[in-house]
Amino acid sequence: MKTMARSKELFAAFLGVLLCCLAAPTQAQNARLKLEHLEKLGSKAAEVNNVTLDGDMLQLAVKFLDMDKDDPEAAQVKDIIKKLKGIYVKNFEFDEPNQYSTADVEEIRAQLAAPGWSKIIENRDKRNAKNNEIYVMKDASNNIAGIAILVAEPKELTVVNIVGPVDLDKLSALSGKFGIPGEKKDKDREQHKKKASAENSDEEG
Amino acid sequence: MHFSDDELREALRRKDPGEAFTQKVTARVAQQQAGGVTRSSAGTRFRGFWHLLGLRPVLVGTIVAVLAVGGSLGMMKYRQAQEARAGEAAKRQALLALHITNAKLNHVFERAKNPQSE
Repeated sequence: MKTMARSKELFAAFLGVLLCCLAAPTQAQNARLKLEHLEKLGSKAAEVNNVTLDGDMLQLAVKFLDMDKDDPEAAQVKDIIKKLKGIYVKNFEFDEPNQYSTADVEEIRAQLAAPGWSKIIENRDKRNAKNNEIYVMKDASNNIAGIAILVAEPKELTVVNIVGPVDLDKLSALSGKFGIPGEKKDKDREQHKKKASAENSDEEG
Repeated sequence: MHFSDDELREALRRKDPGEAFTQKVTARVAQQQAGGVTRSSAGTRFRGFWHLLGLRPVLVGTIVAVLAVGGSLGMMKYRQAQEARAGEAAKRQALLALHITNAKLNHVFERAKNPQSE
């Protein structure tokens, strides 16, 4: 009788471990958002950045980042992406405001309302129609299994979806030049904004 | 027309063709022999090629091996170049994705800290 009870306990423990093992990848898979409905905005946007990196492509990127041994930024990036399962970015910048609909954004929010996701930051500025949100998905061990960043502004819509264990501090601390053209544009834009605000303050004065 | 026996005998008598005829025949035979030799030498050369292949398996094997190794190396180089292109593209995509993520994350953090910014 005792042996019977013991074997039942062992079976239950085995089943528990098996379920945990199966649940972990399922949860990681769930952190992926469906963003196909945003494809149509590409034709309206003045600038589109679309990144879809998963599986083999992500591993290939890690392999090639690994080759830049002397580059500390490459090492930083590699450190962040080596454990990830997928990176999906859709960034649209428009010349005119209101080029995307509320429904486009709501479709993403509906997915982020699913169990597992929790909103950690939300900035809503109704006056300027700016909505910025950050969501995280945590696994059973309370580790981050995915993040989603939603930036919805009059002339911009950006959705970043990272699947896998992410360190937000490391992501936020990345400060390299990245060797990509966007960097210069951002600096130019910042300088332009500073110049514009300086001109405005002069006029007001 | 009627021929007498003597006339027929005279007509069918053996005659010497002369020295010139003998020379002509000899010359023509020599000419024909020369032509035959030419045809025969082309055939020998063609047979010789196959003969060479048959007798030199090492040479044939070497040629085949060189072609196979060259082809494989070419294919390997092509695949490496393709993988390098795909790898560079993946790396650029990863850098772009992290650049955008970093920028947007800091933008949201900044606005959370200071809602009046911008």
